[in-house]
Amino acid sequence: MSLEYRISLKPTASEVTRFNAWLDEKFAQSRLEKSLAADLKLCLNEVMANLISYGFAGTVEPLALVEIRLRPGYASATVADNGVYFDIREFNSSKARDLMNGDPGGFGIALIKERASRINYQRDGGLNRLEIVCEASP
Amino acid sequence: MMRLDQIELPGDVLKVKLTGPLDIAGAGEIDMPFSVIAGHNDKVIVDFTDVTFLASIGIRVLVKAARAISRRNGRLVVFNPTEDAHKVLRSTGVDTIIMVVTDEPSAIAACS
Repeated sequence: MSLEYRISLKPTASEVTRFNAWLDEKFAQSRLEKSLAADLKLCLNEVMANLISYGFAGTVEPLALVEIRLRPGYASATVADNGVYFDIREFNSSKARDLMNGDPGGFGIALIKERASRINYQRDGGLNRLEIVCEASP
Repeated sequence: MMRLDQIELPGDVLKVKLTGPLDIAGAGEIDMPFSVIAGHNDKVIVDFTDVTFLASIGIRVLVKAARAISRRNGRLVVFNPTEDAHKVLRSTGVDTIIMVVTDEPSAIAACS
């Protein structure tokens, strides 16, 4: 049986603190495998950090809605937001970088692509819908 | 809520103990004090035992500090991260410029 939960968030750091507490509670309730919980939590934190930093330029009332679906061996999330177009699948995240001299950031998208089994994205009616699926290895 | 404690050790080594999640909120809380530490200390060991979560924004704080310290030929060493935090350090490649060791004595030895 799949458990589904949703939460709405404003794009602030304190909301991410609330979000992480909520995620930890739902993961515990669902008894999801710890590795999958860690993967999905990391992906969602990177998504929220991107939204807070870049996602809502010019948006009057920024809002994000996160739905998660959890079952043994499977964890997924859909993040819907009313920010700017941003398809993380289009961004290359090379690991061959000069860590001592280059941009000290930019690891987030690489982490999402590493941890997620699948990523889907749609832009519809002024909303972004990003789906992240983390599945246990067979 | 992220907590940062500083402990001066023999040999001019500064131990920085972090406690809490190093997410966007936690990284924001320690960014400035960590920059100050990196600007004034050449041997810094960071106790990751109680860092309960590590996101890329926390990596950014560590990289900035490691760069500042290495410019003076000093060293920043992280010790005893959780398995999850260590996985993040490895997969971002940050462990190539920041030494990660298992315990405090190893961290002290690595930066002395």
